[in-house]
Amino acid sequence: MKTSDPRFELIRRCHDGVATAEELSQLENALRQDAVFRVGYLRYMNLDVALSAAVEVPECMVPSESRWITWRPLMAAAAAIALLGVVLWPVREQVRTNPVATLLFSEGCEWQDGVTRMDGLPLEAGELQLKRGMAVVRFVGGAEMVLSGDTSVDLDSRGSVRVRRGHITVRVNEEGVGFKVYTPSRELTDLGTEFEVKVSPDGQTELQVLDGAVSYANPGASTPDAPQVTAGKAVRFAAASHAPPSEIKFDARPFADILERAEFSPRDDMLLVYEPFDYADSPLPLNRADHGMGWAGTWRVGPLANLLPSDPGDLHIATDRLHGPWGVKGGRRGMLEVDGRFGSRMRALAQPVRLDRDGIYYLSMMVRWEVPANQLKSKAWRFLRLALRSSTDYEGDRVSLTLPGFLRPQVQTSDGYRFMSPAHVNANEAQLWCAKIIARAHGEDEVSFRIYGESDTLDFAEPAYWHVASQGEHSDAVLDQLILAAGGVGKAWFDELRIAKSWREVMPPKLPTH
Amino acid sequence: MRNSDRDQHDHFLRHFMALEQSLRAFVRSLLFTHEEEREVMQEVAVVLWRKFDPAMDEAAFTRWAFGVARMEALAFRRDRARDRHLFGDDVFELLANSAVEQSESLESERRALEACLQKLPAEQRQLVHAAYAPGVRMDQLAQKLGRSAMALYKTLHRIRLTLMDCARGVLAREEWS
Repeated sequence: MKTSDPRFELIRRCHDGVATAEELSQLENALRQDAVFRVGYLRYMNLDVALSAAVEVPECMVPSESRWITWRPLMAAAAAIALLGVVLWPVREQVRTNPVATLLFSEGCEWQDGVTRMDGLPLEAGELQLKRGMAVVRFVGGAEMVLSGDTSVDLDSRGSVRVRRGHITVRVNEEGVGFKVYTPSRELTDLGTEFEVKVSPDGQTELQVLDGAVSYANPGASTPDAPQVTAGKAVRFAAASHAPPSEIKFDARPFADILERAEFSPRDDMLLVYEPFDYADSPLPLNRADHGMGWAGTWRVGPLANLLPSDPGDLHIATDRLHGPWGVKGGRRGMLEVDGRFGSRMRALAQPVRLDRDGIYYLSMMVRWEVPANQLKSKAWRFLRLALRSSTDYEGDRVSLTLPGFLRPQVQTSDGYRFMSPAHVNANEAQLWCAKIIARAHGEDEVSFRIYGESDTLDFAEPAYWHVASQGEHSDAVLDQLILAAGGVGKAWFDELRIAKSWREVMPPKLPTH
Repeated sequence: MRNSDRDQHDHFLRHFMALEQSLRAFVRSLLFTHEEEREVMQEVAVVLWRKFDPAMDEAAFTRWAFGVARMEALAFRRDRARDRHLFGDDVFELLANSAVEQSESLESERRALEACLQKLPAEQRQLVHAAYAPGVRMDQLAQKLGRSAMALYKTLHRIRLTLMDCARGVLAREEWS
């Protein structure tokens, strides 16, 4: 039934609820008598349902705990999951965290409460007392803060902090303008800037503005026309006094300078898995594909390989095909080359990624996907994928990072649970795939995925924005198999595959700074 | 949740998720409004889970699920929308059979829709987003846009037909590539 068929107008009138009783009878008769019309009617309603699903979650920048660029469930899958979660699991644990910030790095930190805090840890509102060392925190609202030495703060909200004592340096990007710092003697409001605050044990506050301006007011008395301190100026506010501040010598260090000089030490102990693909031979028999660290055995043929019986599945190693601009190692020497016959290869991890315990994992891999644009959307060439699965339940819960032919990064955690980025990335250029997995023994697991292209600048820490992230996932899977898969024609290259418990170990060799 | 419950739940979810959109389209074809469709689908999901038999294979689950969806839609119309036109049982049956037969093709069209939405002129795409946003009333949207409700209905109808053609085109090209 062509869309020019006038009977679509009858369908339209019934769909819109404006059909007369006679028209409804006509529709019913047509449905009864004409199989082609029935299919046309179903197609129209099918499209209607699909459109409804497509716009149920708006494709826009949505602030959330980890500030995903956005997420959108494929074909309203998440809506169904949510429905099932509520309807079918009324007693299921619904623990969700409500972080206001993320601990990006901690170097030499000793915390007052004795707790060991992992890099990448979501931080909820509340007290954070550092005895010694240096920590970098990024608020959900966008502000970044360095805590140094003996410093006690209350993470107040996504856009504010209370400093009880100690030393913080704050950098606020455009979206974080308006960030507030409360001290015992003043309320400081960022006006698009970078500044340092020191609070002495007796409540005296020093403010040094490195860039832009900061307004100040007595606690709870902030107004739009509050006085300001501008770049290059430093002032001191007396404790328990509303007297005007006194000017002091400016000697603050810029945020970037602090990070650069900090020289975050490598944490080799946090690198769990590494495959540099630095093999000299090609083709490489699988029984010799044993380089790297953190693996239990060699690469093996995966379940989707579809190889001819005579094909042993040797790996093909190429050189000099990945020229990313990010200053990270890799892309020149050996790398894995895959084509349409590759299917998949898998390798067992010595230490599994455990979703049944609290933990934070980062993954990274360099990728280049070379395929003519007109073949990207064909059935023949559809995806590149890195997946983690369980050897005891291969079809069960997994973490799957996929770049499909339509070039919108996807996260999949189990059958049917698929989350897709609204943003496209580019093929035919070097890419850096990064993912973060927050595993929780009790509560929601989170998987987020970002692909850097050649024109993207690497963040100094984990991305402030991810292309896509999962929602509502609760899994106890123990993922001990890593699978690389590709489907279709054309060629792709994988290099420098890493899994670590710290961002600094998946972005070696040097931490890039702003 | 015990392991056996979890396995059963996972098993059910795999079946249900594979079929969910086809069921939704089928229910929609019987009920005329999205609100009714959502309400019925909620009941369908509950019934399917409560009475789920893990021994069922995919084909058996599909037949059963469409049967449940049909019964729930019938019950809804009888209980809640008596004043509305009701298709005869034979038409329900025919639509259910067609929906099952066409489920793969309909799924392909839904997949292709994604690319087609991107091809729409921005103004039309925005209109689709506005019209299909949850809870939107067409008369209010029309007023906001300075059009009559009828003009809005017709514009959306033309966009739907364009998208149907586009989806078919995308699938045809995939077949030949």
